[in-house]
Amino acid sequence: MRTALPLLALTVLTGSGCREPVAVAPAGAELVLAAPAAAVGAGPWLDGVVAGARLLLLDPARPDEPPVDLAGGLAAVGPPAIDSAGRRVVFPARATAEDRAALWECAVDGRGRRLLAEVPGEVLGATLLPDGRAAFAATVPDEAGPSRDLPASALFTVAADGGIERITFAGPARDPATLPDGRIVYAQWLPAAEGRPAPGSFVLFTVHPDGSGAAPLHGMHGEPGRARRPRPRPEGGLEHLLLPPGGPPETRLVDWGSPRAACSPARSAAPPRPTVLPAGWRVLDRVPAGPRPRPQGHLSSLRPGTAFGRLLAIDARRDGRGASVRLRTSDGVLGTVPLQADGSFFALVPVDRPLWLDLLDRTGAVLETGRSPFWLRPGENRICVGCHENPETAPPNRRPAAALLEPLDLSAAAAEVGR
Amino acid sequence: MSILRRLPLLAAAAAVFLVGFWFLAGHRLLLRHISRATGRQEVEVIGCWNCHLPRSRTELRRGRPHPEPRALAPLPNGLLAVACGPTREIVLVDPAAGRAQPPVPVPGDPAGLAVAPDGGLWATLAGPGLVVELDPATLTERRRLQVGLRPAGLAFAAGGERLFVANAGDGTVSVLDPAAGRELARVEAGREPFAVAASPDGARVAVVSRMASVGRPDRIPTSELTLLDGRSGRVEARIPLPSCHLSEGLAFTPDGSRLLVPAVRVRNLLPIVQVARGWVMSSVLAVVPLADPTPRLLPLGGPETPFPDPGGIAVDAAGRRVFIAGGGGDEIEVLDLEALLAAADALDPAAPEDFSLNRHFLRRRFACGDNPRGLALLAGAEPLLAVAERLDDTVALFRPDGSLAERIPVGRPVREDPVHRGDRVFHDAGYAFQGAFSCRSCHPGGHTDGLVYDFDIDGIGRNMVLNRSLRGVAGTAPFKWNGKNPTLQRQCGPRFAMVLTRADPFPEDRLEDLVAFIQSLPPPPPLAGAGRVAGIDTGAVARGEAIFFRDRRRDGSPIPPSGRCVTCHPPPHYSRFQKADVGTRSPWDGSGEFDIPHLTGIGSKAPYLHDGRARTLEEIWTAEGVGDSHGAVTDLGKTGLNDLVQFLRTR
Repeated sequence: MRTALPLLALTVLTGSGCREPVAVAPAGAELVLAAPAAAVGAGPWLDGVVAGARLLLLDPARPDEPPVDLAGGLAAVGPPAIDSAGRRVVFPARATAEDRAALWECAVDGRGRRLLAEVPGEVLGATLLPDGRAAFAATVPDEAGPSRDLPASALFTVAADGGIERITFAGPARDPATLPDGRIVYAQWLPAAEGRPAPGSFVLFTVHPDGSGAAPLHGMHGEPGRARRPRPRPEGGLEHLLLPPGGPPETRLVDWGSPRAACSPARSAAPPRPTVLPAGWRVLDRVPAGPRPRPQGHLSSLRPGTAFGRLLAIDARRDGRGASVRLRTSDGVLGTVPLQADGSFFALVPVDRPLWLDLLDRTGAVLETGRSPFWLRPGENRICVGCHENPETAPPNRRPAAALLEPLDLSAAAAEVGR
Repeated sequence: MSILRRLPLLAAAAAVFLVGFWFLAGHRLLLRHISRATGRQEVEVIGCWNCHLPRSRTELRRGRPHPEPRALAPLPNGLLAVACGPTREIVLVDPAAGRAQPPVPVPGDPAGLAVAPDGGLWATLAGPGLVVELDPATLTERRRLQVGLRPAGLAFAAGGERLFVANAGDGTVSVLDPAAGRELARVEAGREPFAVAASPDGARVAVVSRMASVGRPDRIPTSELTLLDGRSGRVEARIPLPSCHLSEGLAFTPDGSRLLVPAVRVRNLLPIVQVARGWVMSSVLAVVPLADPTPRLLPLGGPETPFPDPGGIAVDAAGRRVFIAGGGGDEIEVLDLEALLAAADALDPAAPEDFSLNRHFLRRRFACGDNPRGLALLAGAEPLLAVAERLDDTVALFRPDGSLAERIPVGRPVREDPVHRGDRVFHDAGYAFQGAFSCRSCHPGGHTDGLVYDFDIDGIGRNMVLNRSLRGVAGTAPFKWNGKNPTLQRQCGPRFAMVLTRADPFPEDRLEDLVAFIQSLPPPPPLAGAGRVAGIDTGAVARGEAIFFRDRRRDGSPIPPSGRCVTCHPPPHYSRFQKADVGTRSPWDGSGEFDIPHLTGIGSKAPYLHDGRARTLEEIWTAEGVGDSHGAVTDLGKTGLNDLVQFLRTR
């Protein structure tokens, strides 16, 4: 008892007798993913894991200290993400060459490394959300991708209890990152359509962490090329890689708060190559690691278990034409919804699966075939203009006529056309 | 002793008796009691205290008021006059010396400032409804003139021979002859006329109203920009600003050809489903060419970068720049005047709002102190922009490049208290997704914007409800039209974040501060009453009061308690704090029972009923009334109803 009392007091005074101090990345530090050039070649590298790569925490204030390799002992590692507190790191990795790439996490100093999430596919990249969950992109083996080189992939979230939830349901989705407003920005593949060359391209999308409200952000009808690896810059704006057809990748900056053109070549000089890297190694990715303002959170209003979402379109007509819309899934047509005089329609639609809208005339002939899929989550209320929504505009202040009507229930038809 | 020993037994027997009584007769008696008093046929979860516990009408007491500088006026003597409404003071700031003089009390809360061509300083005093002329060096009062209710902005025209005052409280503009010291005319304007500007040649005066005019809830709300002749005060044009409201600033372009009005562009007719991309509201600068007064609404915020709660505006004629204060994001925007006008000329007024247009004329944004309101340009070797930072009690001087030259505290320092901290929360857009709007964006001055909104939490297109005033809500729980929120903490808590701000809920300590601020808001002053409106028919008010408290019809037949006004609307708050069905359920309402609103300041809370369908108090019982479902009124006739309305306007 006599010896226990001082120990107890010490424990109380220090907060916890055995808890280790939580490491925080110093301001200016960065996480660098590097690999032997021979392992990745000279072409653009975007995501996935690389055998023999190293994930280093570099502190420019201490250039002489040997960096910590967060992935030491792992067979392959991919692009890292760190939380806004500068403490927790997640990254895709393979423990052995035979394993699938899974999601790993550790403290910023490399301690406490553990497997965080494993899915049937390969984890490609990840980000950390303000509520502590991680969101990651992974391939979906039982779904067909647009091509052999581009397998199907989706975004998932993993909670602290290990629960994994899929949050995107259309197009290969890659490169998740967290915006200051709390949304996930990612690259989503869209098939060829007006303004997008064949066979299609990656466009920057945003989605709330619960998978609701997915919407294009940039590059929908812009210059040809694939927009990949979006990264919000600490000083504002969104950097991403533009991969023009046949040309070298270019770093672009989307800066809505700037009076400059919205998307322009990023003018900041490339950061110097870390001196600690052996010759012949290539930097694949680098992420600022120091603390930054916490992104906004998002309280989900979804209702898990609900089989439908509400979809209200304000004006689905194209140039004033159109009498109805046909809603379909990859398995078949769910039904047709008449447009009101103002072009609006309101329907209950099935959730968690890709949907397409076709615009029809009075005779039922197709005026326009929807090419860009979308989805709703359980209990989600979604309002949109229609198929040709410009992400930089807002609709007029008008009460859609369809909003005052009972929605047409197309969710039940989903079971009939199969999943 | 023996009795003490038997106490537990007696208590148990009493409990058994009470439970038995409740099951046998109590519930029925209680229901009959409630039904007699209110007409309700069920008990629900209410207690005796709902009706029988007197509630205080007093709101949470504020601490010592802060100066809260709002309006600014540069004086010919090089000083800057600063209006500090809550402390009823005007402060002279010396920009060259970088300090403020001791505050000078004035006989009311100053709201607007203007400098006459002869150099005299004029101020509106909102509370007493006065305009006073002050000596610009000493701030001693030279004379005072009575104007309308709650005067706000003012401006000189016709070479100083006319002074125009916006009377926010009664929707009029006073046209004054300052030399003669008399009011020449009082002109009807929009709802809450607020800012006033005169054209550079003084021939015209424009007045912008802060609130959208009361209209049908399914129609586009419009606020009025009133154009008047600078000499006669005759109305030349009433220009509707569609979907625009909450304008607190106004300026002419240097050539006098256009008007510039910062405003909130609201989309209340769309279901509130997404905040992103300005789908709930955005901020615009209305550019109104006088030759063709169709407003061109240009976005002040860019895509993904809102600029919430625009307020004060200043036009730099020499530098060809426009400065606008963003009260919700604590920023100043600098716009290129020529590029702005070119964008306005090229804009199709019917086109959807394109936020990317902003990049054509936005030159800079820079941060300033908390809740910037009034702006003023100071001439000098180095032109400076003065910014009234209301919630920091400071006036900041910025160089044109946005760098801070000086920040000057005004008034006596006051310690921060929960109410003031709550005021900061209330006006901070940072709690909404992307910082898109603040509480103030729908509750200007803690009041209401008078608009109807469709929250999607209970379905799209269902249960559309009128935004209710927060003024005077202390002690009026429960809240919400469905009466489901027992406290303001619940009303403003996580559910609020889920359905409206779409971001993190307020942190607990901030929520408490916010509630303290809301509870400190006094009820709106009565529109009519002794000394407030000349010509008020006191006889009508007295007759209306008798009608309100009556228990018999004009033919002498008794009115059942459920048909008496006072049953559901007893003083002091004039609410029973329960729900009632007055026959106003629409096909889109889930229920016909709504929270009984309190009636303090009811005259300035138009429109009325849960979905804003009644534009006036009269319409509650005329256009929107169904027999005696909302109180016994069918025997009143037009005169009796008018008397009742007159009485209500004095509450």
